[in-house]
Amino acid sequence: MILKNLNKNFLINLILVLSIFLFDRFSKLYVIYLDKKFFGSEIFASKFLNIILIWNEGIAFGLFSFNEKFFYNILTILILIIILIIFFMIMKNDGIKKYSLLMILAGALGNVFDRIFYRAVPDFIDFHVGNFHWFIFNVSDIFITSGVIMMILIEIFSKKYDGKI
Amino acid sequence: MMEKYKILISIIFINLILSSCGSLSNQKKNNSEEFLIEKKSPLSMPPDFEKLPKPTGNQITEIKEESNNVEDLIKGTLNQNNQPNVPVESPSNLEESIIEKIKNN
Repeated sequence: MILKNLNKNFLINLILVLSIFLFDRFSKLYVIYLDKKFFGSEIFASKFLNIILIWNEGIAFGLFSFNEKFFYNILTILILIIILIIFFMIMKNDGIKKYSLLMILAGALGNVFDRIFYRAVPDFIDFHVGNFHWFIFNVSDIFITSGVIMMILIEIFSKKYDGKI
Repeated sequence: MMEKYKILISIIFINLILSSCGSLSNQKKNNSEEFLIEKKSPLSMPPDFEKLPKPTGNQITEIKEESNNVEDLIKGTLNQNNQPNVPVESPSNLEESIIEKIKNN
């Protein structure tokens, strides 16, 4: 019975992670295709949302985007270690915390895949109000940030720290 | 309480490391800048400007002469135009003259 429940839960988790990962991959590949089609110019432009492809070699907010391969490889290894930690955290936790961690894991896998295969992460969603542009992000970033916000809310509103994370 | 803060900080740190949002400012896009106009450096005097020979009066007279020639040419054409038209030989006369030349040969 326990094994059956474990398998069922594992399958649901796997489907969730895979669907987020594939959705992210599809969106990135489609934007890369459109970018080639439009010769690197803006793919879509509106009052609040632009779609334009940029390649980010660093982490969030374009930080640590150096040209040196050494720093890039160290960052990639650090990300892989964090992914492993998240994986073990998923195994230990359950409930909403587990699903928020699954979202973070799926997003992180999407970004690390690009870091390994393209040596940069494609970002393309550009929200802006007038001339003020927020940082350009991708579908993986949406899921990572959503998962992190959920984790923060859980931590803030949980009455008692039970030692699990 | 301190534990909670530690957890929150570590969550935010994880978010920073895993997400990869960038900005256009640190990107080198290969845009086709067909309307880009390169700024030229401001005009300046050549270093050996003082050494250049000063213009003399001969050049002015030459130009005047040339202009006179042009004026003559125009006048000449006008005169030619004013001359009475020479009657053009009719095609029949031309034929006759050619036939005469052939006969002479």
